[in-house]
Amino acid sequence: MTSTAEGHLHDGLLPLDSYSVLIIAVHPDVLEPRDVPRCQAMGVRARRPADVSGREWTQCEVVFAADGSMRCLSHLHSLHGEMGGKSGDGSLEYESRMHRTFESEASLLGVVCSETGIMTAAPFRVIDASHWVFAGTGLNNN
Amino acid sequence: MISSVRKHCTSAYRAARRAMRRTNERLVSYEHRVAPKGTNPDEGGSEMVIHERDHGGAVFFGGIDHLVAALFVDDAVSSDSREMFWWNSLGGAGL
Repeated sequence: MTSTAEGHLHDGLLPLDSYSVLIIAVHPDVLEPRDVPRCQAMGVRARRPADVSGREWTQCEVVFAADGSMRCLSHLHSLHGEMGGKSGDGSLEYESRMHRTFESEASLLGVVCSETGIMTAAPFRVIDASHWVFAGTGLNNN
Repeated sequence: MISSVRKHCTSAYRAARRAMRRTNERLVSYEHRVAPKGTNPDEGGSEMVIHERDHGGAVFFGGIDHLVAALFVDDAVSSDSREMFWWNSLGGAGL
């Protein structure tokens, strides 16, 4: 297991092909667009890739500067807590800030953060303990 | 004042639910499976989601901001995650 920073992914210092599991944390929800295809390539080519993320880990496009700083393109015109706001003419509702400036993270992950339960806290309940993901955990539907 | 706040919260809640339904309707077509779900009232809990891909990979969406940080300090989260990825990396049923 290797702990690294998003800058290493961006700089190419993280050899994604050497790993079968990519765990990505959250905030500041970063990916620069050029890193997305690299993560997509991992998902397509690796023998048994699996990603685990917290929540909204690619919510926001960022720009890495040569001096090592990072700028988040995080401005969001959200009237009612929408994750991505709407286009200028209101005809399109974005799924996220990344969707607004680049592309929905669903194109990379197949999932996207929704508002469901956001900013709340409640215990999780297992719905289907027979799924392989729970193998060996001892968790059940109760 | 209280009435105004309640009205705003209700409006935001309804907007969030509409957005959630739209998102879920689109994603359901990608063979998603909800694993654990938050026990918030009115079925409003966050969802952990498994997205299995045709080529053999999978995405586990943690559904919570601090899942990864908890890997290092929470024994239950750490052990369960280890089992999940051990099973995955050895080519268990799903992968």
